[in-house]
Amino acid sequence: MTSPPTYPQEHRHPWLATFLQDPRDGLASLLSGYADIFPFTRTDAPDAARLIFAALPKNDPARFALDEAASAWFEDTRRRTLPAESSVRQVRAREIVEAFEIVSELELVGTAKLMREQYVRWANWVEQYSLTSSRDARGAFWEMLARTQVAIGSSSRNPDSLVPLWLELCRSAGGALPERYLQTGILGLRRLPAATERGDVPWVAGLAAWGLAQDPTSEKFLQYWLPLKRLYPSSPGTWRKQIRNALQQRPFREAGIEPPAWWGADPDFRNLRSSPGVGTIELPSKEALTSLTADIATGTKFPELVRRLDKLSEGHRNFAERSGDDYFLARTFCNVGSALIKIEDEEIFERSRYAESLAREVISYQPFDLFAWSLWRDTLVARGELRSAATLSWEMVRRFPESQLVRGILIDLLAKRLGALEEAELLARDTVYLFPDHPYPRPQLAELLIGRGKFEEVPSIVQEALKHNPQGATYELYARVLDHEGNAVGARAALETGLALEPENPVLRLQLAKFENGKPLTLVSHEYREATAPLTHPEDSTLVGVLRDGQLRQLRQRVQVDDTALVELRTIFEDDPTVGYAQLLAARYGLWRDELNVQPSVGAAFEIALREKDGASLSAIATRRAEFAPLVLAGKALLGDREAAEQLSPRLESAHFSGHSRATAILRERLRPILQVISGGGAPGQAILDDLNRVQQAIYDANEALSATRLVAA
Amino acid sequence: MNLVDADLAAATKDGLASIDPRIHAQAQNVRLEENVSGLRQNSFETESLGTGGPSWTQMRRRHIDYVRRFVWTATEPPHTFRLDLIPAKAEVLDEEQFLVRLEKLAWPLSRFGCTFEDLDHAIRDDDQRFIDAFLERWNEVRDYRPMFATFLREVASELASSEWPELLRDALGLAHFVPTTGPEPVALFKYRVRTVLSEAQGSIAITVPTVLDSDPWEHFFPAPKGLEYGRAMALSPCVDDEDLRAEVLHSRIDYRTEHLSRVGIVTKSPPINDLKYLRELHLLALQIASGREDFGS
Repeated sequence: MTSPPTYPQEHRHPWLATFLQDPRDGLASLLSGYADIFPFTRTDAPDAARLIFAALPKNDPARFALDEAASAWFEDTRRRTLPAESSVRQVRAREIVEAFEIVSELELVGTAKLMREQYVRWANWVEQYSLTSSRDARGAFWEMLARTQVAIGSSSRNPDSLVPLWLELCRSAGGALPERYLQTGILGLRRLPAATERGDVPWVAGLAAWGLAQDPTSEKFLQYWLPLKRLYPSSPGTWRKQIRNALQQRPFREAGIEPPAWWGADPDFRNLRSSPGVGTIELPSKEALTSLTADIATGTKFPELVRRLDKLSEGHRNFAERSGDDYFLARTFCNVGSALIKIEDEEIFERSRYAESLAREVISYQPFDLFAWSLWRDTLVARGELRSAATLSWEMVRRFPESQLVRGILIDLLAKRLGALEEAELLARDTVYLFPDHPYPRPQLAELLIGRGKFEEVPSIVQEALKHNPQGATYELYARVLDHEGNAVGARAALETGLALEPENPVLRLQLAKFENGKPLTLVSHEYREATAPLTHPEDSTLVGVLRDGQLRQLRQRVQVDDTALVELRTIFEDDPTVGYAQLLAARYGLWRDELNVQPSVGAAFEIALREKDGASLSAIATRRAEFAPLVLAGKALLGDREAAEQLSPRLESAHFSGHSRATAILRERLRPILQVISGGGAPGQAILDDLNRVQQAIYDANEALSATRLVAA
Repeated sequence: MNLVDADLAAATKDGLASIDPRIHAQAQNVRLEENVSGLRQNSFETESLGTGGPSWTQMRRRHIDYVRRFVWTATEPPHTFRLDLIPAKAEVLDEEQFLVRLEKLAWPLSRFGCTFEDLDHAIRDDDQRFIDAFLERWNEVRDYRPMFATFLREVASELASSEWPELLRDALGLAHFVPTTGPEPVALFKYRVRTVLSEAQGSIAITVPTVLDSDPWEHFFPAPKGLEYGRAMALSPCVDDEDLRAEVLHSRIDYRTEHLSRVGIVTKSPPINDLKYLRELHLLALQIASGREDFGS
């Protein structure tokens, strides 16, 4: 552009005066096309906004006003119901898309930050305005996040924190998501502030991740690779190093991918081969980790550790960004985080905060990493935020319905730390039902009932526990129960039987010695009391979002026994019908109201189809979202479709069945008692019909887990 | 267009009575329009949203809402080309002739994540993959709105100049191509009529632009019925009916590498001319060109 510009440098559009009188109304009129902004009345709103605002100085009041107006406009629009009329809906979608473009184009940092902090909330909402590729609010939302990273970067502790989202988009493009999102994922990686600062090209790892997930043809791969290569002029040697770096990482090695892989179609890389040690991205040294964890364990003061912790974290972040492999980051962060909260001293608040940030970062990469979720919960417990910890645990119950352990820890937290005994008992009873063969739920329920003074049911529960899982700890419990009933002979026999099974069990030995000394066994092993932990109100918007879902999970548990729970659920749903989890529960419990004009999420659509016994709609869901296929089979089997039951059974029986593993794994664990009947010769269809409630609960739980947002915070 | 709806008719009168030349011009466009079928007019009058009322402001909003709902569509064909609404079909005889269209590039460049220079160099190097990728990204987000275009022969002399971006803008009345924040990058697309017809798959794909095909716009002027095409209202006074340039609307096509003829930049602001004067001269030229001295009187 060499011609001398003749455009006016100090152009200030007269409409800005109107805008500043009422910025919210001004932005709304700009987006609707009503604004009197000649000559830009003829351009699309984002272009008009650029032409009017971009020339203004950075500190011009109109820019600040526009940022505030954008946040308010999004909030207002989110509260509006989805238009029933399709032509109006596509107009609304267009306005939303254009509003995101304005945020991107003019780098409205306040609005962009708000959306990052409340990622789940906005991600849920934009889904229903993704109508076509030209009216795709979800795509525009992600693009806005990609394009505002640099502007937000300087004010963020971890400016590249969206890496997991971009890698996920790359992997899913052409699979679970339309292929056009590959460009969005790549753009996100191209606009990472810290990586760009270092001269890295993490988008190469994104492209490789896409290759690994979608296995594109050479031609298709070149369509994306060559234009990008042009935008980043480098010597072939530099490229070879970058590509080798990406392809020598663990996921590619495990998949048997050898360099140059997809890059082989580019003549520059035809002869690229693996070269151990050459160009490999380095992980932070193991020694650094070992010495750091040793110093944490021996009580080195936290301020002395922070710099090393930051350095180690940064090293792992860089590795994950450049390689696309988050395995080491996840493991290291969880280990270091656990070490940080092990010692309870006066620094626990700071250390738990740091550990929490590590846990959350792992979750952003691996949304279903049980260790990271457990660490997050434990950091809250460590600094006494017990109610938040319990609510977070409810969200874990939703996300990990196959885990008895998550429930067991929550029961203890509710009963022993929070005094929420009724809630604990309800959950404990449910856990016994859902995990009938597991050794811990029955004894835990029995201890809880003993502690509450509700002894009547206890003997039968303990006997049942012994029938399913004879083990030392349960015999010890049984001995206390028998002794309490006055059956000293039986109690001694129980202790002896337990010791025969576990001769070294110290508790059994101690109890037997006590018994032989003529002392009665103490029935209550833990005093439960109704107590209320201090209520804390987290200000962290990410935690608030997760806790909101946790509260819904807790509410769902109450629905079984408490009519007021449904009223609460209805209120929450109608207050914001775009919340995905509230939608799903509303659909299940018949609270869905068409006049709210909400587009149901896939999870909610599944519930509606199941409730209405609509097999055709269930099948359509499986076509739309492949990961729902096993759930759809289970749903149809529940409705009496024997063919579906026949198809489902082998999927669940084979632990090696590769397809759609998350839903399959959950159903397999939760339908274990039914699978036992089938493996014993029972017909799948009949076995399912004989235990309908179990199947229904498993389907509900699996749907809730599958529908949980992958990215908790951005 | 003689509007039946009492509010709309009164609102048009209100606009025509305005002393603001831009409002007057927009209202005049409604009044002079002859190429909108009765069915389409009825659709506009009955389906446009917004609060009814006799003021021009209300009329303008209804017009804008109508365009956004039924012309800039994303899921259904725009009203412009719907056979049941009897489109104002343009007479295009030779399918091999070229159409040209000027597009702003700022937004697609930003969305693709490259600069004007990157694209310019790619075009010079004939890097088809790069241009393909750029256009594909752009095509994804383009809706079904009708595309304004002119015939290549109409602007051949402007295109021969090194200042073709500004000359073309001025000739086609693109008053919004203003370099307020810096040079405005633009692209010239050139494609055959055949391309438009084949993508439209048989339905009417090329029409005479009408007032209902875009937002109220003072630099638009409806063509009298009987002219085969529309006539763009230039940003400079039209002193001779032979200076009128044909303009048409056509249905959406995907931009392809071979369509991207050249890129350039607009660095100069459009000429400033009295709108009323521009329109009076344009009307006169239209009357001569159509042989209809009564048009607009």
